Amino acid sequence: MDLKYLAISNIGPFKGLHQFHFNTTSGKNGFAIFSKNGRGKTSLFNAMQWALFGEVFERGSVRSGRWSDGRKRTIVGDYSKNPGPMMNQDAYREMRIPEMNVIIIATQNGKDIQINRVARSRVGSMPRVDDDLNQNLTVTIGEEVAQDAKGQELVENLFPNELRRFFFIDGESLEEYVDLVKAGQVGGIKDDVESVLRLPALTRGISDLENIRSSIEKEIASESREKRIMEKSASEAQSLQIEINELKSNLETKERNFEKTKSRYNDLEAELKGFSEAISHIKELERLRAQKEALSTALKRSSDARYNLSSNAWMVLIWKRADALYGEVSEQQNNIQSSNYQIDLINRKIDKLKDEIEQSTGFCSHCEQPIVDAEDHKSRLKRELLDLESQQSTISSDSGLSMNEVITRMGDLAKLNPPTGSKKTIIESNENWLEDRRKLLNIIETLEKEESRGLEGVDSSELGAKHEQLGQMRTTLRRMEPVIDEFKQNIKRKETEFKRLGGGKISMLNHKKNNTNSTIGELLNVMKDTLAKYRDSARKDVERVASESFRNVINAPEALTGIKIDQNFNGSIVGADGRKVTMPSSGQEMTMTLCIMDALRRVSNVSAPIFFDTPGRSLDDDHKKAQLEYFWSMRNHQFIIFPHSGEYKIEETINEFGGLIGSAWELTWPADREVCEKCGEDSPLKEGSVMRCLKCEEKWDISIRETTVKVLEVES
Amino acid sequence: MEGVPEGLKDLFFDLGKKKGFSEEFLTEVLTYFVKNQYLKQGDRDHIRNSLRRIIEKGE
Repeated sequence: MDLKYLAISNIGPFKGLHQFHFNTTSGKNGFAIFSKNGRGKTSLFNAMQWALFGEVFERGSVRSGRWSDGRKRTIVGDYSKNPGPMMNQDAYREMRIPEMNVIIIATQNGKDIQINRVARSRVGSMPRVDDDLNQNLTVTIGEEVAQDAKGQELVENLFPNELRRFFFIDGESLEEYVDLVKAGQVGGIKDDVESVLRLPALTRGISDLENIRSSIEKEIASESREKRIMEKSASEAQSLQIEINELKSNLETKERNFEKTKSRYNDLEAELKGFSEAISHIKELERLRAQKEALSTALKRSSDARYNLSSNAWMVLIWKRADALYGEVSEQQNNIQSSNYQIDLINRKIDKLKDEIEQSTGFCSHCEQPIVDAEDHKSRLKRELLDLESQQSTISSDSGLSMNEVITRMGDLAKLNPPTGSKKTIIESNENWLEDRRKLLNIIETLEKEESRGLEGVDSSELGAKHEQLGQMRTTLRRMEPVIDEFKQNIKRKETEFKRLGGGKISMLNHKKNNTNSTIGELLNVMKDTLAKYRDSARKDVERVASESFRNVINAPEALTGIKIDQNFNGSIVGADGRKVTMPSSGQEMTMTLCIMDALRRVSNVSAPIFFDTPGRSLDDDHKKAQLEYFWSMRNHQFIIFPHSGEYKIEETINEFGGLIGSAWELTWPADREVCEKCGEDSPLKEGSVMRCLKCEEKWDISIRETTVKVLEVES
Repeated sequence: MEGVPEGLKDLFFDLGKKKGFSEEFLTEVLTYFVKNQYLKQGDRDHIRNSLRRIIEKGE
């Protein structure tokens, strides 16, 4: 991937839009962005990372023998902190809707790539935290356009995030890398090395395949259980199939018989069609005979009822007379009861008078004084007694019969009383019997007439027999139909059950899955073998390429002949005697580390530009020059350095390496301008916070800390 | 095959072909592994499903 264009807006000290056109037509891969400290080299370096990965981290460090990224940089927030937020502070304060933006245009294999990442406030001015921003990524590769997560996926296919430390090299952190590379700290750089060599493709691929194999094994086990169930079902299905076949065979026989009978029935019916009059005569005779039979039964029933009910008929007749007599006796009974009551009353009065007469002493029973007219009173009581006895005698003599006699008579008469409704039922049963009899006689008469009619030229007995046979066949057919239906229903039920049991089939899926599992097993072996062998061959490749670079960059290639990389990818410098150099200088170690990183990039076959912030740190002049000469000479990687003025002098570098530099820029503040931009006069006068050109009176404010980008002229 | 070290590719192809796999199948598998190598474990379910389809298709 070759970088063609970079535009940044409102990042770090870059207020507004700033553009960088990378000259890719010259075939030169060296690029440099010079500046004094604080002018925005690192901001530019970070802007590239933010555009590609959407995040930037503070400088990392080594903890417990492992590299650890610093804190994630915020886009907005507290500007009093160091490092502060990434968005330009003036833009943040002045813009109605603050926005930060980076556009990268690159090319790879003839395809144009455009990456545009924007962070824009969604809460108006002065967003307080990053959550107040909308961050959007748009990636265009050729004709393909993708947004956000999908876009990020495309970016990382070109430029894996895991490998960014091999492409975004921070000179300030290089010493930490040197420590990791040389100190033999297991796990230090090894993971990164494996990443850059694409070993995760194999290690994670192995884990994926093992996971798939485990899933398939579970599926096979589950299917085996299902298979056992299916086998049981298949056995049941086979028994059911035998039953179904037997039922079908029986059904066929029954249907055949039915059809045969139906055919015979149709033939006979057709045969009898020519004798329709005779048939109707026979049918009429049959009907009349059946009716006669039914009526005979009905008459017998009504006759029996009439006979049974007639046993009460004499009572009905006698009761006609006895009913009045019973009424008379009943009245006599009432009279006797009334007389007896009166006699009883009179007797009680007589007894009372008798007692009074007997007990009369001539003295008052209460006060025991002599009663004046006691005799008169006694005489009057005796007269009353005589009257009562006379009344009793009269009443007693009035009744002719005694009560016992009356009751006996009533009992005798009651025996003659028929049960309630007897008369009505006797009459009705008689009427029913008469009606049934009349009907029967009518039918007998009609039947005799019909029987006597006869039909000419027809053997009525044979015809009758055939007609009877037709009737029997019709009955048979009617009986056969539901039996056949029942058979069909039964077969249908069993066939449904047969289907439910899977029709006796057994799944063959296991076979396919076993094949897949076996393929995965083979592939796993290939991958594990590749991993084991490649780890070592890659190490050797890295060692070879790093040594080659090292010899090109180091200032004493005769004495320091190469780099040794052990199993854990820890490096050391090797001397001419083939032994490890025990006390290399820090510059030599720095160079070794850079060479190993370069070798890893080259062996990994990832094609992406290298961004190197503060590249000359800790290197002496010879090594710095050798480094530029070597890396800027590479044909397949753009090498973009961000040196400060103490590392590489602008004029010196451009003069010496102009032939290797595609483009170069200088980042400046107004305070850095020592030449008037308007007339070229090089002795401006400082007046407080303003510089004034003595020749053309042009003035510029040197208190402003806004970076401007100046394109430097390089050898074309 | 971009972004894949030559040594890794050559070794994988050599060993794979010895096991009877076709170059087309090996290319598809390795490209897929490389493309998705940095995806985290928790996000790899769809990768595994696609990989299984690739293997089943290749049989």
